[in-house]
Amino acid sequence: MLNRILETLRKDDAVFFPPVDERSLRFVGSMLASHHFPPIPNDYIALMKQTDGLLWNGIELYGSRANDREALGYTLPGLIEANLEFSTFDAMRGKLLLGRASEELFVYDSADRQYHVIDRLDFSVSCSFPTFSEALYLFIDELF
Amino acid sequence: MPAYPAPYPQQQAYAPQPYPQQQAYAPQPYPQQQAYAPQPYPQQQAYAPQPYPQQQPAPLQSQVDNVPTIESYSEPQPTQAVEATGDRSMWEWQLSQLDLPNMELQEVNFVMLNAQWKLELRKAFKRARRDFLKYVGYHNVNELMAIGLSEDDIRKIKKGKACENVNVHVKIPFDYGGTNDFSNLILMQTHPFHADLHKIIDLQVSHQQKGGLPKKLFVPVPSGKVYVPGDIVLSSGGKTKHDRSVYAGFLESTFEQIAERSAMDR
Repeated sequence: MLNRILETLRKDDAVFFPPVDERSLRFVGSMLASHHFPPIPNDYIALMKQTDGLLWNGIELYGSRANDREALGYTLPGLIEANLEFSTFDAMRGKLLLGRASEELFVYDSADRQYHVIDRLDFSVSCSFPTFSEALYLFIDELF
Repeated sequence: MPAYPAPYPQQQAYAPQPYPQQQAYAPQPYPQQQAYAPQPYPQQQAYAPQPYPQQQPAPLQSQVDNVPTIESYSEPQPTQAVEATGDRSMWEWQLSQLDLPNMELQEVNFVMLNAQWKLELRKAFKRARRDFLKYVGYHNVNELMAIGLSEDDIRKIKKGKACENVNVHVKIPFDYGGTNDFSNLILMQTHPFHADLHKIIDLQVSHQQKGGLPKKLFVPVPSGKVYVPGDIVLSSGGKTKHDRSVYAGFLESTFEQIAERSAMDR
């Protein structure tokens, strides 16, 4: 399902990045662990192995490292930077921030091993999914 | 017989008493100190590895109160409000520290929303966002160009899709009386402006000790439909007014296409 979604996004001018290598994956995993963030779930790693980050229609999915988008004058944060920004919030404890859309955050909750779309303001859960592909599909269902 | 009151007790005659005799002072000998004798060190026990204490089995997830379980997500709970932190001047100062010009700090009050209604608002936002992007793509081309968007980007926005590093921001959050009305939406660059704007709100929310949202929130509110951090430079003259000429809202490529078609007709 993930491959089909990515193929559709590619046709719709989504921004893809080079796939992550094992060394970067190990590094980001150890960095997240040292800051007491949950480990990256396996199906998100599957995405990172195809594209290390993703941009489409205002949706950002973070990769293993920050991407400098020099032509547009900004830097897309990586998983570490994005999660450190929210590390002071109690509501984000035990959750790994994977991406964000307009006023929503996309997280993986290690407590129930589910993917949640949560409100940017009060972190209340609006919907939950057991797999990453299903969660991603929520954002792009208009393409299918 | 009548009972007579008892007579007063007879007082004894005063007789001075002699002072108690004090004992004569006699110096006492100092207590004898024991002679110093070094004591042997206490014998240390030889090291013997101790077995690890048996660990208690971890409590089940459902037994831990603080950790949310999947059941807790099934029924959305309304967000609670708590007292606000800081006054207006404090948050104005915070706003001035971030590079966010053309923004006004607005005080908004918490509105208790039904959880289901809030969910509906969020779902409706998805549609409103798409329509808003289309609207902005056709009506605010000058502003879109002023923030550095290319013609391809604007074409994408006209289709109702956000281009890279552009997002639709809700000016007044739903929890504070905001709606999906176009007047409450604004297109702005995600990095750095949208992220910085949320830092002001995050600071106020993260200050809450008991969780929940503050009763009073100071929200930086940009004006207009597209956030332009500087002055808008118009290609068709004027200073800060919108381009109201007949060519406004069209891209250069549109004119090229029109020219090509009219040339073919000839």
